[in-house]
Amino acid sequence: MEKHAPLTEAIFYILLAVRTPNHGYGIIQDIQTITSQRLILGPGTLYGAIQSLVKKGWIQMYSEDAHSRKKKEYIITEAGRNAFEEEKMRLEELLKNAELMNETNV
Amino acid sequence: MIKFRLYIDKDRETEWLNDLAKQGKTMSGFFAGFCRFEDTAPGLWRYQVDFSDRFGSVTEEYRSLMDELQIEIVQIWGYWVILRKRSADGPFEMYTDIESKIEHYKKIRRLFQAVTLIELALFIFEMICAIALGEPAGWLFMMIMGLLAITLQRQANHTSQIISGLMEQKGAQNDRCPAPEKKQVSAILLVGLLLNACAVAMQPSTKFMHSAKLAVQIIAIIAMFAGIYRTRWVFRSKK
Repeated sequence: MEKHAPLTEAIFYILLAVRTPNHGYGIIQDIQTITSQRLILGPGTLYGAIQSLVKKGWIQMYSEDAHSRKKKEYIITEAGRNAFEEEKMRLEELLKNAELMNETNV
Repeated sequence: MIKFRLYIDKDRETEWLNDLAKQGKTMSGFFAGFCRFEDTAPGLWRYQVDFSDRFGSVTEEYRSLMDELQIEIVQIWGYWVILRKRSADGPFEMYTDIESKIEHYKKIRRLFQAVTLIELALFIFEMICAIALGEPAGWLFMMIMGLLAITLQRQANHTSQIISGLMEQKGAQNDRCPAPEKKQVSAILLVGLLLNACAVAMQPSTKFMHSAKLAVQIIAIIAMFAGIYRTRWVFRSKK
């Protein structure tokens, strides 16, 4: 598997938010909800992240809404899932190793 | 109401627009420094200034995203995009993490660096004309171009400082950031030396060539001094 740099928090949560088809406003809302209002993405940050994720092939356009032609939905790709999985493994390792700190407390 | 104001610093422009919006003066259009304002309820709108990837337009994706988020594109001017959102709809910040802020300011810095180079080229052109024609207006234009180039270069430096501040916050003041700056400095000095060599090699056979030679020599001297100054500056700021 290709090695990636650690994901930024914004990228991590955007990938999570497009595990099912999702659009701009929905992505911001979902992230806000699952982080209990902690992480609210600015429009510039979201736009830049979407552009770079599409370019990398980690997400793709799902459909252009036929009724309101303005709304654009995105969905994660296989490559995106792989990158996310890799990040998850990295984070699990961090958490596992974080336990070592408790050993000195005894 | 129409106000004339040209900003080179987009953060200060944003501040100005928001201050006026709080007083009930809402910006509704912009053309070459002339801002049109309308009277509205104080604090109805919040403004932000963004930087587009394209000159004079934004992508379809950008437009639809802003539309969806109920953000209005008030005006696009060159690479600059002036946006507003109703204050009632919540806070309005374009960039909410350090990574995207750095990316944003890097794009702005690239623009300032490119325009500085264009102004420098015009400065040289005006200087040659001024010397060749002995036209006082030429000297005036030359000075205007020179001042513009200096202003833009200073703004590029200011943007660099913002970027290094952000980098420091991110805790990543490691490899990539200072290196290009060092290269840029030595380049100015090198350009000065090269120009000086060119000036020496030029044959002042015609009146025009004579003027051009003089112009190149002056620029070479300025470039060499600038190069030396900038090199010292890097050493100082490194410590």
